[in-house]
Amino acid sequence: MERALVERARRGVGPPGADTRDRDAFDALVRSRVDAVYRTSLAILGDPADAADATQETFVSAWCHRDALRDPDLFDAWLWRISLNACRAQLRRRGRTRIREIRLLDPLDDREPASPERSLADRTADSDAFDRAFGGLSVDDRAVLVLHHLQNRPVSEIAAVLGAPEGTVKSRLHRARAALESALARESR
Amino acid sequence: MSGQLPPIDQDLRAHLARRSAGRLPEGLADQVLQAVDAAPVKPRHSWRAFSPRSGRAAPRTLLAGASVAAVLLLAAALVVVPRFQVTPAASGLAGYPADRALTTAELAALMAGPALPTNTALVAKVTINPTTYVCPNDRYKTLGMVEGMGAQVCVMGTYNAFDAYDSKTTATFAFRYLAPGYLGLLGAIVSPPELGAGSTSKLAFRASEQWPNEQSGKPFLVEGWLGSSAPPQSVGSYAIGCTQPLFGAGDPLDPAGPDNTCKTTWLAGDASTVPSWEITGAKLGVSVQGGHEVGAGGARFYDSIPSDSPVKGVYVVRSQASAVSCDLPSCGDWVVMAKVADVSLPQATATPPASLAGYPAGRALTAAELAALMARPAMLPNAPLVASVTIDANTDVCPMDRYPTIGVVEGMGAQVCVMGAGVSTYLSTPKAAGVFAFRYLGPGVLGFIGEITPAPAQMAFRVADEWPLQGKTFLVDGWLGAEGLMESCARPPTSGEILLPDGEDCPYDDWLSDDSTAPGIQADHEYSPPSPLPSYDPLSLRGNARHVGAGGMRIIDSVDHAAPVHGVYVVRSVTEACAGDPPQSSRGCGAWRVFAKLADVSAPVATPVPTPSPTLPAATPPAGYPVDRALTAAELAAVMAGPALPANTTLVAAVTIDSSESGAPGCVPTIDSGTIGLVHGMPTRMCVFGGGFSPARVPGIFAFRYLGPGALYLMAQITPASSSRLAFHATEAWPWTISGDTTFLVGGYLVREPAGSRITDTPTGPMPASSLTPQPVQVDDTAGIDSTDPSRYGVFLVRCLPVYTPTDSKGSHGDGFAYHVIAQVGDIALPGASATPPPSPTPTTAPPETPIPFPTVSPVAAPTGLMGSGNRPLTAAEFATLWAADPAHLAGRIAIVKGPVPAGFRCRPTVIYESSPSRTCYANVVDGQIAPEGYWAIRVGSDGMLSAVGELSTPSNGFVHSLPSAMAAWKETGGGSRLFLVDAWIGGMAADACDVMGQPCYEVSWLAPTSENTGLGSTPDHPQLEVQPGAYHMFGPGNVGGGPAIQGIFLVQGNSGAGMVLARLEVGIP
Repeated sequence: MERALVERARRGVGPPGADTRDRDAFDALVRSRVDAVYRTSLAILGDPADAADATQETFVSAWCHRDALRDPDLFDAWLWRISLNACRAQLRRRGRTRIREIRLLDPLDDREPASPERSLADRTADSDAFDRAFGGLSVDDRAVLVLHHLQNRPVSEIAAVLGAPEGTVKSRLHRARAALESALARESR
Repeated sequence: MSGQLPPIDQDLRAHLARRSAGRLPEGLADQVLQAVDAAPVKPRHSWRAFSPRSGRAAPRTLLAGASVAAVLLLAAALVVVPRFQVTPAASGLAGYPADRALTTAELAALMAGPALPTNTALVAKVTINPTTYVCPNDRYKTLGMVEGMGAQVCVMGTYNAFDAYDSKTTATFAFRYLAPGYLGLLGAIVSPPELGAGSTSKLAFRASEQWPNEQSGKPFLVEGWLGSSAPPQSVGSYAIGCTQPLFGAGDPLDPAGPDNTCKTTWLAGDASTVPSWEITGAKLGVSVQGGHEVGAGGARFYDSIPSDSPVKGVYVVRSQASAVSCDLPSCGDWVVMAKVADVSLPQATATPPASLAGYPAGRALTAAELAALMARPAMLPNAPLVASVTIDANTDVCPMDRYPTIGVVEGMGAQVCVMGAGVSTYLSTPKAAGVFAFRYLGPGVLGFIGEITPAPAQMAFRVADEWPLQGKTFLVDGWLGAEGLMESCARPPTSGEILLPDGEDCPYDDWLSDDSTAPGIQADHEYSPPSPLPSYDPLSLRGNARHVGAGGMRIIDSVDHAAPVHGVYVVRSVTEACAGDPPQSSRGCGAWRVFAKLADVSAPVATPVPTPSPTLPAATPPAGYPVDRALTAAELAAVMAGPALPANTTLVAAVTIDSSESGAPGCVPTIDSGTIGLVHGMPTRMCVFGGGFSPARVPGIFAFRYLGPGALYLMAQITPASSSRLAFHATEAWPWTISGDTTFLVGGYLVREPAGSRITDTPTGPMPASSLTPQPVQVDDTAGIDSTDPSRYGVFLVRCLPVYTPTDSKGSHGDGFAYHVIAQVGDIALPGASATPPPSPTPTTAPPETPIPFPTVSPVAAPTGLMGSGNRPLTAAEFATLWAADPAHLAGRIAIVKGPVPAGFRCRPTVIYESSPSRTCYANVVDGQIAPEGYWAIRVGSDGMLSAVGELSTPSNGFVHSLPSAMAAWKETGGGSRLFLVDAWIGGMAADACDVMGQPCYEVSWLAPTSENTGLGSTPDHPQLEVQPGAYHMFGPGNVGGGPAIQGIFLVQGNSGAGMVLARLEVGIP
């Protein structure tokens, strides 16, 4: 049923030259997924208005570029990737500081790393501190944490969403978690 | 890497759930759908990655003029760029590919020769070793490496189509040549049913035969004619027409099927084949007499197969396993993946021995002869040699990726590394002098087979002689033959590891003899139990012939079974004698394995090879620039050295930008842009300004604006249209990404109209109405394009930028991106040729830099530094000798030198870290010269000037730090930055940028004391030093994106928290 919807949304019926793909099918896809896309965007962005904008951009881009989808069975992974890019664009428009991938010399690196035995609850006194720390992560780091810890997706799905080989998913998850730990450590000082 | 992820962190989950909780904004779905409604209707978008295999096509309709025009344009688009021309089949490949595949040796010769045209289709019978960690996974997934190639040849496959191989797999494979050292796998070939073991019958099916109908889609070869025929306008009462053309060739390794929706494509045994059409139900059926209907859209594109007349060839075909029916007239059950190219082997460099009297049966190569051999152009890969040399067990100066290093051959002009087949192959003494058998693996690299035990009278034994036992390796001068046995083989012959070829040779029994006569079996009865008396070998061969194991080396050295072959063979006693069995018995316990057949080599003539003079056309535009190619580095240097260009002239060049030299003296940053670095390898300093560039060195195709002599402004890195063309056509599918920031070139005519601008293919304006309407573009004010004359052809720099969809209050655009013309590539001419050619260089004595083979760009030399052998610095005299011998070879490299530096140095500001450049000079200057005692890192500038990078901090008990001692020493300095030599393992792991198309890959890199990566970062038990991104592939050299750790000695600047690798050191031998 789902696959048929995607097929109809992509190709539909109609005379040549007229772009009369089946909008009803696409509408059905939108309504079935708008909640999930919005909530994931909200988890990543932390702001309802930004999440709504990113959700709208996600589905508009999906409609405009549906020809780029080769396999209807990969629709969800493809849609989530568009959603992640929409979140990135939203952050960019907000004019936030771009997170540098690597710091060459950071005085904080000389500090003792936080003990891995301490739980998240021990080191974050309130939600605001967590949100500030989480907000300091890159979109990719936030996304991989959301896909695994919140949505409990398997490796293959996370890899498909991120557009990365499966072998890098674990390392990216580890790095994202390490980045969050560092950010939380700074917040807790 | 394991697929198991860490357990869900419930606290983290709770926080994320809190963030995502809350009511859905009211009416969000309706708002989204309203925005979708507002998106403009776009024509069917052509995108080259599109594959129609998985989707239904629109039903056919009556022919329309627009469709005809579209088809004509499609055909033009497919054939518009003249593709490569390959030479007709030459001698040496008789029967290929219809009757046989390339052998391992033939494929190795092809891969070692001049680069083939990209996507050349080949068929070869080889072994794929599923070693996946040494090849980069980016566009394609690594499936393994081809064995027996000498140099590394990676086999890549699409992520969708291929699962990894679990074990070594020997089969006949169809490949596409992707780049030097890279083959793309089309699949393992299914052979015709009559092809049995030992059969030499054909490899390809005939077009008229029954083709395999495997749902798995395994490919097979078909020999026949590929043609296209137009259906009649009507069949019965049904009008036959065309739909909108489906264009897009698919991926080269997974090509699309349908190519022309108005014709039926077929593969048949006769060039004059005409299909027949009939209506069955509501579908148009096609039958092809003596052949099959096929889809060949991708193959036509990638293999330049014209469609106007049938083309004979051998084609790689597979069944089209698709659950969705395809009702186009040109869609069939089969997809032609490729047309196997006619190739010829490069001329072999091995020539009959001329001045090597007595080699190899009577003597081994001397060290001087081996040095001369290694100094000449590359030999055939895997060529076996025997030489009397001394191997220095120095394992810290050679790249250890495929094989572990045993040592370095002494007395060679340039560094020659000896690599072993396994970690157990190490010398027992620091230096080992003797006669050794090697295989030539590549420039500067020999593979170690074993130490040779010479015969008493000469170097090689005869078969009748008493051979060495107990694992010794020796040479045998004789005839290698084979007896065919009546047995079924569990699997086809295998080669095994080329340095330890233990492959099987079923169904043959190999023998060595002093003559070419087949020996035959002497007796034929059951073997009696061992007795106190010497027993005879009931399976002994007549005369003095011996049974040997030669499986493996036959494949590697191409020694055929058909007739006995004379040669000098490297043989090893692989087991000990059995009790009661004659020690020289060739069966039973005393077994012999043939490792190699020594190659015929000749000593090169000892004359220097002159460097060709750079001949540039006299003030003419570079041919093919910028539509087909970018300026080379040499051409850019010539342009920048010539008369000053108009300010802001846009140039496109394929260069390497070196940001490790950012902040260098002479590059004064402008007010509104910082210094990125220098263009690497230029004879004079060429500064690059701009922003947002962090890796150390990035090769690529870049667009610049000319700011003035020695100054360029970086505009963007360019996405090429294809491997053979730089600029896109106006009506071609342009790149786009949802995140935007993709920059590319478009050639055409810029037409400005009141409603907007477009780049068109013709000077008369927009194309006739069709689905190939040129893309609208916005011409930025900063583009600097004055001409509005649409009759003037230009190549424009176009950038795809995201356009967000604002809320309703701001209006609606609908598109996710827009194309901006940001510049027009300027017309330039290269200066005239130099009047006086440069003098021939004297032979260099400095070792070459370790090359990094990149598949898509020109190879870039690794930033290797020089030090003395034995983990010591070069003396000033050694350094001076190296520098005087060939300063060009040392340009840009860092040397570790002890003592006073020759006059002419300047104290160079040292950049500590990007965000806070320090101008402090770490040099103990006394009266204009560096203090007499000290260890210095000296950079040899491309302008001939020496500059001190800094003074080294050395451990109390030596010269080179271990990583823990370096990190401890850094802490003692109170966090200040120092230079150290560190013996460590450099590791790398993919970062986010590695997964983003079009972005340089900045793998996360670190130094560690061992090759293990705990994945936990630096801990007290396992210290780890984070270094700059990309250091792994630049200094390892490892693969872009990460891979296994590589050991080396590195020059590092930093503190205990993080460091910057400046060089990886090799031994400089004056």
